Amino acid sequence: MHRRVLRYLAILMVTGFCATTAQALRPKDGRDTITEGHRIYDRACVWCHGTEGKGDGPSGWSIGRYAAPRPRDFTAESYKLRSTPSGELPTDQDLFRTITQGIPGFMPSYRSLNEQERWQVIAYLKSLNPAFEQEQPTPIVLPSPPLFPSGNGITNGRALYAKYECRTCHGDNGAGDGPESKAGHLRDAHNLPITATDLTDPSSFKNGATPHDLYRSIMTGLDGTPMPAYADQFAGQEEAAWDLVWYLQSLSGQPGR
Amino acid sequence: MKPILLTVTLCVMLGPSALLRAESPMSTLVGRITYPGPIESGQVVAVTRDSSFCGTTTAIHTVTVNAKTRGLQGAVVSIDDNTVPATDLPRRPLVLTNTRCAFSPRIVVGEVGQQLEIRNDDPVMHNTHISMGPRTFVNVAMIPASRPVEKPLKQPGIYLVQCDAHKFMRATVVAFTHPFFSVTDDTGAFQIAQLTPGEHLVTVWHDTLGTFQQRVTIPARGEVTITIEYPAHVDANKK
Repeated sequence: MHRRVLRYLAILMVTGFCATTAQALRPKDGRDTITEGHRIYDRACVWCHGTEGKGDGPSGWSIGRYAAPRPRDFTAESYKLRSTPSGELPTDQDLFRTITQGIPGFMPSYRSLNEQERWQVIAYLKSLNPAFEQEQPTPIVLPSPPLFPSGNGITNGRALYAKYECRTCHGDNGAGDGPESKAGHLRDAHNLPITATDLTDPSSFKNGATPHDLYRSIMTGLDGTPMPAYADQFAGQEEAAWDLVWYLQSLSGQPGR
Repeated sequence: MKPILLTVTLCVMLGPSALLRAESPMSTLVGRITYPGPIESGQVVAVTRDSSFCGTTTAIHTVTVNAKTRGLQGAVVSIDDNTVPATDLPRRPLVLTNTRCAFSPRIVVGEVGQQLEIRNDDPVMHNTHISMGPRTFVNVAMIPASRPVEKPLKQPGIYLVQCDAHKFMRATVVAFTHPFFSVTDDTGAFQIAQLTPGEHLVTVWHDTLGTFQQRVTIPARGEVTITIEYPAHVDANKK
């Protein structure tokens, strides 16, 4: 217990430091930043996302040709990986996180770009969709995981997994083999077949596998996919949402609570 | 002296507004949209989830025509060129309910800025997924007895509604930047009030039959009644 507490505190401190440092290196949004971002995009992103950011790059014939996910169309589509409510655009920090971490199995990490370059690319991506000028994405409240969870955390989480019918897509044991997924009924926004995430394999989680990431995915849903947002259902019951997170972690043998 | 001054002041303040009320448009367009095509019996599809409640099969009706009046149900009628000053948005939300494994109503029409309220009256979970083109408007889990979910309509246009849990469930939300619209009832009837006199373009949209337009002349006052027949061969993909 003591080591877990120290581990979480360390993660929070490092995350906060990195976020603060990244913000400090962020160039001012403006034409020069966008122009530089465009130059970097043409070097690093165009092969999948296309010359106009429509997700139709030459590598796209193998990625998302017959099954989800397809490279993101930055000009009009929703964003899957966000900290904002369903239907909202991502925050700049969401975009920074995705570029930095990549998406397991599909998009590489771009830590090779320095932080300033990553912010410049983000400025360019946002310039491709006028919605970023019209809307102000506001992230949901992401509380810290409770240090001292309820005694029946995983048991409560298992009950919630059943209550919210997660098994329908993710399966009884979270292996992504739920009846809807196995039957091929799940489709993404492009009507491409999509399978439910195998919750027993955290390395495959596109939106991250930390407790915070799982909480965020549950609350915001993954727009463009059948995964809905549960924020309204958990409103006022955040402790219950954490119990579900602990249960999901336990499915992979991680030290859930 | 003071009462006279007060009276004059009140007349000056109220006079112009009274004049404006006298000049406000009062004309109403009343009509029926008819469809000469065949009356379909509905496509029967299998229910693959929650069949104990939703039934093992369900019928999907894309074009509902009243046998007696030939009226087309669920057509959205609008007049986009009516020049009337903006009024306050309706306070009550537009309600879209998951009920008996179907969306009710199937066509929801409102104004940009109005709240859309999503409810679930069923004892099974629904997954209400609303999108406009490639962009998700909202995708929310609606468990039995869940609290309603509200979200304002920010953009004008056509929103497609589906349930990811029950693929046969479909509905449409149409948002306008003005209040001059109506949805035909089960007899094909509609009514649009507060119209300025003159010639207007009436737009009729149906989620299967597409868009059709016709000009109509609105009188200075009173009511004008028309019947608009949907062409039998409108491009179904034209929205």
